[in-house]
Amino acid sequence: MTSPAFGHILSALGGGDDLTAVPLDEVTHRCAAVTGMSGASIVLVADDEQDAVTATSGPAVTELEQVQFMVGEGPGRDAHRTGRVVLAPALGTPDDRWPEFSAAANRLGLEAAFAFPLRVGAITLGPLTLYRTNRGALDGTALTEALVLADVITQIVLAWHGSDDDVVSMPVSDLLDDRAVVHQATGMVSVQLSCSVRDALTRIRAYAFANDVPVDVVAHQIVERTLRFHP
Amino acid sequence: MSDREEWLARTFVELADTLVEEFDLVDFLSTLSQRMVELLDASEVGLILADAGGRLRAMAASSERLHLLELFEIQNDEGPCLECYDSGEQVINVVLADADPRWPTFAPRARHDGFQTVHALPLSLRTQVIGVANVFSADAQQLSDREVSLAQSFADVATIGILQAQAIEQTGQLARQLQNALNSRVVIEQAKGVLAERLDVDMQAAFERLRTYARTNNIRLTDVARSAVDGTLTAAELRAPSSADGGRSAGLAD
Repeated sequence: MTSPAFGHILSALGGGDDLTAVPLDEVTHRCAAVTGMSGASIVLVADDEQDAVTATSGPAVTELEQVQFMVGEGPGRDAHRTGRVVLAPALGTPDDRWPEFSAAANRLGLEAAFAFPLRVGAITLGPLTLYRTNRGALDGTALTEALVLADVITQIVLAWHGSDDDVVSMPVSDLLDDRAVVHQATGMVSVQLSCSVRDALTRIRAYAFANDVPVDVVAHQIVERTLRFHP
Repeated sequence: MSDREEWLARTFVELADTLVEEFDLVDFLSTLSQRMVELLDASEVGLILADAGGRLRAMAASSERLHLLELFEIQNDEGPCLECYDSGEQVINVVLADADPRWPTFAPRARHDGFQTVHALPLSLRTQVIGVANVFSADAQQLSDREVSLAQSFADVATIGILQAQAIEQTGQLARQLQNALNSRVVIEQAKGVLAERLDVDMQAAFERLRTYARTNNIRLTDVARSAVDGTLTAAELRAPSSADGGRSAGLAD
């Protein structure tokens, strides 16, 4: 069952669309709109960090993310690496953490950045970064909203990304499965299939969807050892 | 000082002593839940925190039984935790046999799991309720005012301790730290699954292995869990009951 806040953000993003079928650039654009920001990016980082899929709300952010990737420094990168929210209400101050990145940001008219890691336990997808053309901190409400948005985007990306190049499209509202049994089953299946926890979760969801069974029911079967996955 | 008073004094110190380098919130809350069971002679205690979206999430419990964890999870729709969280008020001495009108889904389920009485105490910082301590008893015994007061004191001391350890200064930081703590719990659940499969043990045993390893090697529970999931810590290392050389075997793959 989704929280009201999750449902609210989901519908604000969706406007009636199946968000797993909307191009990620468009989803990113909506993230900025929903939070009142000037721009946004979603970067999905490969395990070895050598590759990334980057979606942005527009050309300025696209250029800035290219800079971040090239110079290897920036709020999104820090958020992904540390698994923590990184808040930079003023880019380009004398004690800036990322001088090259921030210089590029300022040149592109961006003055603040707020990066949120997209994660489910040990599954880390990459950062969602919100950018703004004016400096200033996120107040409590805006921060909370952004944290919920990060959860929503995490669920969308997990639903959107399939295995074996098949995009498995499942309704996002059905996929909010933060129950202990699901996470336990994810761990078990990652061992059974010798795969990452991310792939394990995708496989469990795909199985549930294909068999028209709720994810937590499948998870129970796995944990009770009446259902095993084989490579 | 009587034994009981000594125990109380020691426990208060234990709960306040959170300014240690390897402080781990989930591990700390697991300890708190066990101490509350001991204090109240209760059957089970669960500690629930609210995430950024206002959803109640079980952070730690006195046992790792799946049924128990689910009893907390269903309380996002109804139940003592939800009432306590919404109102900020204690919910005390509720007899489950009479509670069907109040909680039509939760009450029968809790009785089915063998509980007769339930209580919920708020975990709050000034005016903000950040979570709930949920207490279950398998018998009909009612808590006295003194017991409730002591239990609330445990909860209050623990809440202060949590926030000190996380060096919280403002609400924004609190929201972020809590979100981080909730993610830690998920890592631990994933790690339980990995270990249960690798070692062919149940979830309770898997959790005990993680916790024992963390304490023996002086590493944060969450870090051990993450290493177990990504494979840098092998099941073989976690299978051992204790570190034989008492030394630095953490985080090394075979």
